[in-house]
Amino acid sequence: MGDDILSYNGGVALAMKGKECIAIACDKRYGVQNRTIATNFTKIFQYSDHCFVSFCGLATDVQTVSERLKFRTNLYELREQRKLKPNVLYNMLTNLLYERRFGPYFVFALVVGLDPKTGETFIYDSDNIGAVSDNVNLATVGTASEYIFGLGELFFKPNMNADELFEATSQALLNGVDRDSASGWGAVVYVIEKDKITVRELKGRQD
Amino acid sequence: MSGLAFEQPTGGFVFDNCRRNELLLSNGVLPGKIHKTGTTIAAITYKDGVVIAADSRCTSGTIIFDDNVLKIHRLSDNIYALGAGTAADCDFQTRLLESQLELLKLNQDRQVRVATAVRKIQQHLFRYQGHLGAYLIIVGVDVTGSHIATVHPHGSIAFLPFVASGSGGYTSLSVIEDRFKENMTEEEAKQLARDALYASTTTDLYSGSRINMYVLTKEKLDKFLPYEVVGVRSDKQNDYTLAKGTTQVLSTNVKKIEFDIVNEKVKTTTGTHEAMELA
Repeated sequence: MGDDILSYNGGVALAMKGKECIAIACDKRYGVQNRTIATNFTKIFQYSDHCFVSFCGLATDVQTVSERLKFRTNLYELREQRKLKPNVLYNMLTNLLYERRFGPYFVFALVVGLDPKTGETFIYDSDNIGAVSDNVNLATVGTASEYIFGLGELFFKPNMNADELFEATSQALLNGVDRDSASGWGAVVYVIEKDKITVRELKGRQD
Repeated sequence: MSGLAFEQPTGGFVFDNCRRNELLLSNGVLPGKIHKTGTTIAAITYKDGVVIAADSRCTSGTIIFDDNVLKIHRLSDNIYALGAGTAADCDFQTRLLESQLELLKLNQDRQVRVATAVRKIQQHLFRYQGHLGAYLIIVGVDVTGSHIATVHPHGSIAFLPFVASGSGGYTSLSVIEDRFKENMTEEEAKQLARDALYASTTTDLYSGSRINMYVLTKEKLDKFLPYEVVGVRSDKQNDYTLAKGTTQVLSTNVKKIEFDIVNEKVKTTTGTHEAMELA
């Protein structure tokens, strides 16, 4: 990876769809090139009851963009007097990133959401200047994303229930980060269903 | 840093990160890979209108980020744009143009013309001196007939009877050059577009998966999403379902989401049904 700005701090996130449920997972490493500084830096942020975003890339931009986005979503909720939908959140995020097209933030983003009434699931991903994607089954961002894409494609099957989805997501993430030195040190998985969110900390290699 | 706690989005680009990014780049740091759409896009005029076709692959370096992207963007009911080059630029510039055209249509109370759309985007892209990497094909049918225009990032345009663009553009263009004739029928035009896209999805590594096609005439818009799946995925050889409990968990935290019950309806059904009386 060398001097690539997106691998300066390391980190990875993955999202996968199931039947009326979504899983989003990330590792917990925060490092500066080859030194690991902290092992509790989760990269998943909640913006609404069923909407989550994960940012991977330069850590300072992860924090800045997540907070700037929170600012905009707070204003939205105050003005509109209703909670955010996943596609609205995604549009806000891509707008925020594209505003800085010529001086971009160095984060790649994953937006996931669930519509509690219909059970419809959403996963969108974005590059660091806000390229729009369609609603996909599986998405991953971060330094180990190339490894996790392969594993995710293997373990993913359509219409998984919450338990199967959790296992598939966890195994794809854990095995992917084991091959990447810039991510790891534990993982967190959020499984989002219509009526509850289950947050699990995974046991992984601590290196 | 201006230390703004309250940022008022005024629209347009914001350049506050530029100084920091310049510093990073001068220290030898490489910028990250942004999504390009690689791509093949093609448009052909025929007797009644235009046929437009695009592949569906989005790449970041050589990794396929998305296998099913729609590269055909609506600008108005009668005008569509195909985008190649930097994905974000294609998406946002066509969206911006779409809203401007909608306002123009409302203001002038007429259907928007292709030439207007092309002129607007051309002038906009020229202002940015090619830094917005949007290679667009604008197609549409208006009162003056059916038109295809190709727009380059620096602002040059060309109105042509057929055009293909993107990394697989040359391959497609050679197929179209071979068989194009004026006033083709719809079937001939669709077949030609399909063959042109097939050639580039199979040869160009940045194009692939599916061929999406729209047929646009004065009367109708037919959407074929997809027209053909070129990269058919084979079935998995094995079932990789993982048993519950495979992953070791350190802790679990379940957060219930509170729902407010807005209204409740109770429906009773009678146990037995009366038999129908036939007079």
